[in-house]
Amino acid sequence: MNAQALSTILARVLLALMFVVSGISKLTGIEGTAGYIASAGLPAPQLLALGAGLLEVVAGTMLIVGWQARWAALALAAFTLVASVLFHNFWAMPADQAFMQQLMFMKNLAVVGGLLFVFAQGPGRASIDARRLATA
Amino acid sequence: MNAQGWPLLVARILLALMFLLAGFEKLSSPAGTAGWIAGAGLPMPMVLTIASGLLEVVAGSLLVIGWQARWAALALAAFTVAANLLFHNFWAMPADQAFMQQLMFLKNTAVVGGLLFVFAFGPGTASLDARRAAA
Repeated sequence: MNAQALSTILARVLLALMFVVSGISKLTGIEGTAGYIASAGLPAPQLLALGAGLLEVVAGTMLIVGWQARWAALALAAFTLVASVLFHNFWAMPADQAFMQQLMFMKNLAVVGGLLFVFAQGPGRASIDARRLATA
Repeated sequence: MNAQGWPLLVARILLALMFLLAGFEKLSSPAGTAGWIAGAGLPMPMVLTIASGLLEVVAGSLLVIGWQARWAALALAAFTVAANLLFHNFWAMPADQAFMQQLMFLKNTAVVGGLLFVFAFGPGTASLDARRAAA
């Protein structure tokens, strides 16, 4: 495994960690997440909490193992953009929350940038995608 | 410029934006950041504020234009890891701050992952690095 493969697998684990952690936290605490979702005025909060948690855990895991990693990265990027606009809309928040929410929003945008890199370049050689390509 | 050039340019801009904004903020009102740095028990808070602001603005700009982008990404990744350990050490925080700080820590960690991707693959074809390599 060369240096590029090593840094890309490390990069995928780091990128995926927040999704896997917050996905598991959503799935183990559906009520809390559903309340948060309902407070943003969205319908079917329980269903959305479950769907979001599953998406984060499944796509996050696919990103780590590098299976269909480009599509997993694109799905997480879209999810993050939607979540940022719906829940970190700092431009519509009261002043005492706006700073923190803008920080969250900007960090999420940076994460979307990182995920777009994976989408464009693929997961690198230390991945199931690369292994399947090599044996196909 | 091939099809991969444009998405990677967008990705670099998205990755760099938070550093550019935070860097300008530090440089335009260093007193606030310096107080925060001093609060974490670090020495020379004013020098550290200016230096980290400059690093964020310069390396963020290099990442956007794609000049020495791999090294800019690596520098920003190292900076983010250091800032994470020093200022978002949620494991040592009181319970009312720990949740928010852990969120910040994990978001920063994901950003480091994105930057490592740039380091591993380079900035793509829509970049000064690619132009120079082609010349």
